[in-house]
Amino acid sequence: MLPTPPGSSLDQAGLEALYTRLEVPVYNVVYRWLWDAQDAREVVQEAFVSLWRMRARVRMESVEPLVYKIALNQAAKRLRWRRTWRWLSLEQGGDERPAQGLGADDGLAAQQRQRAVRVAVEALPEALRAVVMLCELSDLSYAQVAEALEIPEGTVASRRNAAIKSLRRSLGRRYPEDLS
Amino acid sequence: MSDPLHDVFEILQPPPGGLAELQRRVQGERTPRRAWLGGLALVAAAAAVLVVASPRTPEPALELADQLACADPALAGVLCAGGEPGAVVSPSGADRLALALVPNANDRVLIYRVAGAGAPMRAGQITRAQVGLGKELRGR
Repeated sequence: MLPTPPGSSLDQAGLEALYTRLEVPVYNVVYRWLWDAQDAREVVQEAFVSLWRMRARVRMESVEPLVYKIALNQAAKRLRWRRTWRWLSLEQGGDERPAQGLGADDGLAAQQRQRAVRVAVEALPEALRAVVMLCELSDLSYAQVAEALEIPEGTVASRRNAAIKSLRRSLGRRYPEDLS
Repeated sequence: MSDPLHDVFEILQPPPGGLAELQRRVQGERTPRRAWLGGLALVAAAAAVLVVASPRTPEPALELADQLACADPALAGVLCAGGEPGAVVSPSGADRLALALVPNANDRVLIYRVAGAGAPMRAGQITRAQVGLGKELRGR
């Protein structure tokens, strides 16, 4: 077990407990940025390693919003780097999750759905996307989402509503039967 | 009919092995203080290697003493004999030099303060002789 700097209550056991609790939600939020399982996993890892490096300055009462904040920053950084690289190399990125356990037709339909979801989410401005993903995929309260994104708490609710409306509109055009 | 947002917010499972990977990376981390000390030790070692490996250059004071001796044989005689401080007149008579012994703790080294009384010395390369110089004399 590695030593913890004096004044910090985040020791290695605490970090591991935090990781166990937050791995899935943080991964899901980050995945909606990168659309690549391996990249999302690496960003989650890097976020927790960064948290460990700054453990002397971490306030435990705000550690969860901090984890999301770090992860979103790193995901955005990786996305910018990937866009630059893609622009230079004309490479296509991202993965299509395999639709396991489905027949050929169902699998195709599922893939089309996934693509439509991705298009709809990527069409959201980043400010709206961050709010709606944190609200829907994490256990953070509005106050914690506001802390993670450094915006007023009231803005969280309004951005969430705007994002949901936009997603419904966007997905409704592609799958109108879903909205009936 | 399902809500289309269900797909958007579907919970995905991350690839396995995340916790073990984190434990491995955290164990590999060094504390900032230890990293800082390691960097300092590396710099000190590099500096020591440079000092030991660098070619020896003549001491500026000894170089100056040689130049001074070339410029004025009388002065060279005084220095090489470990002579007493005093006024020295160069053989050409072109310049008067004053010598003063500067105390120092090393008995193998004599340090003189040399003062030119007037015009630059005739060798040309020494135009100001008001320089403290050291020369190892007793070994010669």
